[in-house]
Amino acid sequence: VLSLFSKLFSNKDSQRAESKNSAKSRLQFVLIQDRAGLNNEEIALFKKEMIEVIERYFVIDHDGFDISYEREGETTTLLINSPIVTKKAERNKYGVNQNTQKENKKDINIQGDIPLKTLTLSEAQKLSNQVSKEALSHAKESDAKDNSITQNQTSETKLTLEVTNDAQGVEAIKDEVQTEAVAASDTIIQNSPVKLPRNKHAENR
Amino acid sequence: MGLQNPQQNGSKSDHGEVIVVTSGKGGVGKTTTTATLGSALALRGKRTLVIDADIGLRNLDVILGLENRIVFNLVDVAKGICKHTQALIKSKKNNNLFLLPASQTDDKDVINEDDFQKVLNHYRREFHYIIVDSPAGIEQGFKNACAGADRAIVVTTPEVSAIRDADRVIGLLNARGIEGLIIVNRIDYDLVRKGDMLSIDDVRDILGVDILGIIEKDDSIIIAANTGEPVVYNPKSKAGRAFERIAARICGEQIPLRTGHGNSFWEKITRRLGV
Repeated sequence: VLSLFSKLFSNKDSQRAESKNSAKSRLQFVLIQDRAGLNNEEIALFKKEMIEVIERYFVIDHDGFDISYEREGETTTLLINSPIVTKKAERNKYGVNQNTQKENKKDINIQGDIPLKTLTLSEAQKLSNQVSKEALSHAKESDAKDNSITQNQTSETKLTLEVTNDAQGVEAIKDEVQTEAVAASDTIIQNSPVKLPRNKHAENR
Repeated sequence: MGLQNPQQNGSKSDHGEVIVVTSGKGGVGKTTTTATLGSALALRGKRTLVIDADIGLRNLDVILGLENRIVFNLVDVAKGICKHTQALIKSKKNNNLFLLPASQTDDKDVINEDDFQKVLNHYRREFHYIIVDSPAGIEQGFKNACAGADRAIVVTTPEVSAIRDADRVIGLLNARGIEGLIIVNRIDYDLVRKGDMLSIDDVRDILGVDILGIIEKDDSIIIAANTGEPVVYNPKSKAGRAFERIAARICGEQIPLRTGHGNSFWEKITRRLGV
């Protein structure tokens, strides 16, 4: 009886449209701009160029592509979340072909669907470095030397790119790479330190 | 003033801790927080100075009921017009609480960060806590108020505009190497339960900063502002108890947050009954 009561109350709550969700999503939107110090146009351009880079390697779902800025304590992390429809192609051991950077995505020769689990750490880092190089050129004050790539066990197909300003976090993720590199996975988390652009931007205002 | 060196928790040195109360957005409760928290600390036996850094728009004096005692002010001290002890006003209600009022006739730009630091240095050794009421905004007045702060309290309400401004201010504080903690003011748990107000967890998640305290929406705060007697003196005020808990946390006590998120059956029943 008690749980029935509880259920009744909670159902009543959940049936209403909750305006706080609207507050939350609007806040998250403005905070991306505020924290990154980028305006609408710049964010749109960053998004477009990120998609271009990722699409050299993966077929992604544009609608699910999402950029967010998250802060935990004094660490600010740029999160780029991109659902992958299929993995695109193998290029020389799935690593990075010398020509790849010049190639348009249409020119990429799809040779097979090699699962990410066959990536070795060094290969993964190669891939990671290339993606991050372009990504970071858009993040002001970036420090790209600590890129790492990791794989998580997950049933979802998602590409997650994380740029953080916390060097310790990068080390932690690197450790994870070694232990999980052979695990079946569809998620790439790219982690790279970035000096808080929001602060610099804020100072300049 | 012939005071001993204060011994206190939380500070590494022999002099008092400077805490700036700020928010970015105006009207979220900075001045009330400064006055009430200052009173709560003084009631705990801590020698406390509250400084009104809102030059040109002073209000801390009226919230503390000390408006008719002002002779000198912050700008007078900064410019050496009076001795630093002359400008302090002792609270009517507590011998441990002092106010350094702002000037009402000057402009915020009349002093800079260095001036403000010098003013602080006059008082640091004589107080356990110095609480600085920052003006709204992020201009010179805010910069002055942050100069010399050991830590910051960022006051916000569970609203989009206040949280956005709080986030901006936290960024500015981080850039100055100042740790900021949040006080969520005017939360209405009925609205939170209906899903029409951001919860404490939402605010913490969005800002990514720890919460120092939570003040429920409380009519006693309005009454306190009318009478010039902060809510800590009102034994019936919920907000008064909340500020006491915040003061205890500032003094280093571990007191869990009361987030009003209880979802047990009995909590729901008591809520239903309006108990």
